[in-house]
Amino acid sequence: MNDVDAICNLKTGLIDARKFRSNQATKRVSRLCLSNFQEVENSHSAGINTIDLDKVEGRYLLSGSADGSIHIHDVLNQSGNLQFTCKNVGKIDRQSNRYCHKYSVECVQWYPLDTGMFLSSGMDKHLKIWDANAQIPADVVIINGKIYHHHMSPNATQHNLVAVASTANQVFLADLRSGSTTHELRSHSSSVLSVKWSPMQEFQLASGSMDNRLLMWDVRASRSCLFSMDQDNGRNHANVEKTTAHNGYVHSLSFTSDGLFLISVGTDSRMRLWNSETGRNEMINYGKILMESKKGTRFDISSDTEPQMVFVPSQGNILVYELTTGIKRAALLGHYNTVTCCAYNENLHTLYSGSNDRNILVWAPEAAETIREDPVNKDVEFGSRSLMPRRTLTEDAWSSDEG
Amino acid sequence: MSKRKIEVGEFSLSSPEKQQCIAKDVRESEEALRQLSMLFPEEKFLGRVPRVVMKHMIYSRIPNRTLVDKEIDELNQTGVIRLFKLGSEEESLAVLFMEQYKELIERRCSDSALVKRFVIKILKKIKEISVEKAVLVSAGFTETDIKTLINNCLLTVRTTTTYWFAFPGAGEFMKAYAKGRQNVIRLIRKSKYKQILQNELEQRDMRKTVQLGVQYHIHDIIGADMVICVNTTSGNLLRLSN
Repeated sequence: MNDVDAICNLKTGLIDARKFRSNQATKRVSRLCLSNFQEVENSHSAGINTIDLDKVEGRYLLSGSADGSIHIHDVLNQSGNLQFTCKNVGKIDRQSNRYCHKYSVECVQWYPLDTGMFLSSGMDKHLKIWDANAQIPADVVIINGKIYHHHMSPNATQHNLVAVASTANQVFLADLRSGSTTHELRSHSSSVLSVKWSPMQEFQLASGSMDNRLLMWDVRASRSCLFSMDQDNGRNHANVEKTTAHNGYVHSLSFTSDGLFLISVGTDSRMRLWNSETGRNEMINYGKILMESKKGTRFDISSDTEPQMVFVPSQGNILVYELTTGIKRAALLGHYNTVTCCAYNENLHTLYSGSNDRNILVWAPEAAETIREDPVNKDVEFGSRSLMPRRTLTEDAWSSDEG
Repeated sequence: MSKRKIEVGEFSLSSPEKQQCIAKDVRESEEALRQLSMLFPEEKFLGRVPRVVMKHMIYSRIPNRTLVDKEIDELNQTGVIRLFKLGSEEESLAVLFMEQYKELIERRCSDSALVKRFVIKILKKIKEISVEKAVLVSAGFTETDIKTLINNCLLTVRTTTTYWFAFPGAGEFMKAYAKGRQNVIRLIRKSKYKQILQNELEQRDMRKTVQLGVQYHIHDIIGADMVICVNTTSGNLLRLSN
């Protein structure tokens, strides 16, 4: 079924529009490779720990790194050329901004409704709420432990809570309206490594910790957690008091976009798919996902393709798995060092990944031979990838004797 | 369950297996299991050890692991095979065909009446890899009965109240298996570029060092992800994966 036939079928009504869209998305995602034409401007001076793409337009890429700096890149290609560098439009680092984090930034997240605000948290125990245009924090919440992860609910209308996962055994809930922590969820017996709100139910929260457990909470409930997820589903007579989700720390979580399933990755090199209503392990075998870091990576799920794909960073590669069958589709190689995070852009079907080698790479669905057009903007040189984009055609990097 | 019809305009990813996890043929995994169990050199152990296949060896034959897991689970529930946990890792599950297991324990165990009771009351009912003491007691087994079963290698102590299921000859098998696997991996590690063609590996004479046979271990290390299998023009190339 080639593209022209597909479009004709769409026009005559033989396929419905959503199916057409998901077919095209699947075709594009299966062709993901390191982009030859797009790159992100190299502005980080330390390994990148976390990236986030805004939910509104998928235009701004926020990245936090190990030296406490936060950078914002604009990934929308408005130049008209195929060759494009995503420019850095904002930088918060220790030299230029006195409100910058003192230690590494572990997690950044855009405000879900617009790009005027973002939250960042790190090893200096601060959760900072930034005004994106003024680059000044509107508020700072101090948590009783080094923060590994935080998450703000993407669809909450009845609350303004940010869940914080830190070295303390409790999950803290910080209220943005009051600017301090209001709520503590106690059940874990060790540091909490990751928290995620459900994208469908605004009061449902999942947390994974160093005690190998994955708990599901309803923050309105006065008792403790709703249930703890058990990797054996109650068989094999596991120790009933301490049901574990993984044989190692549970360090990364993600809900699918319909909120029905939860994926967790652990230091036992396994990835598991859980039913978020019942907590049942769906027993999908993804095989071993090698990773050295105990801190966790940020992985992403493509929700518009059929079948859905999971992009998981594993050492220097990004592995692409089918969500429901566990078949490995591809291993994206390109980074020089451990990949720490990746974010999927649904509008462009591209993947952005950040790693300890200070680069953010763009993975785009490009065919092997892409027709090269004449550049619309003649000033930009159309050549091979360069780390430092040249300003004018006649400028070169050599120093001149004449000065 | 029937296969999903490919509708007009549907783009399906080209892959050897279709995406759905339909149990189209439970016999496919069973077939792979039977072939793999034929690789086991039963003669070398003179009947002390049955034909054991490790569960991850099937992954080297059938790539869709979730499907294999589901089929194995189904075969376990229907009583065609039985799973045993050998070793401490999550992956070390051994698969035995039920007929062979029953024949083995009837041959090897001293108290046949007790064994018959065990088979009927416990093995037929409980399909998991471990069993609780309370369940055994309620089925009418006394402390001495349990001790006899442990002596006959049918149960192994897990905690004060739970026991693993086991089979006679498991210890001997584990030793040969661990040693053989280590020797094969060592051979690959010594090669230049840490890779070796499968044909070359099969030709090497390792009868003294690898008791279970090189073919058996090739399936084992591919399934356990210790090597990556690359298809080349001169056959399969096995490359160490770390």
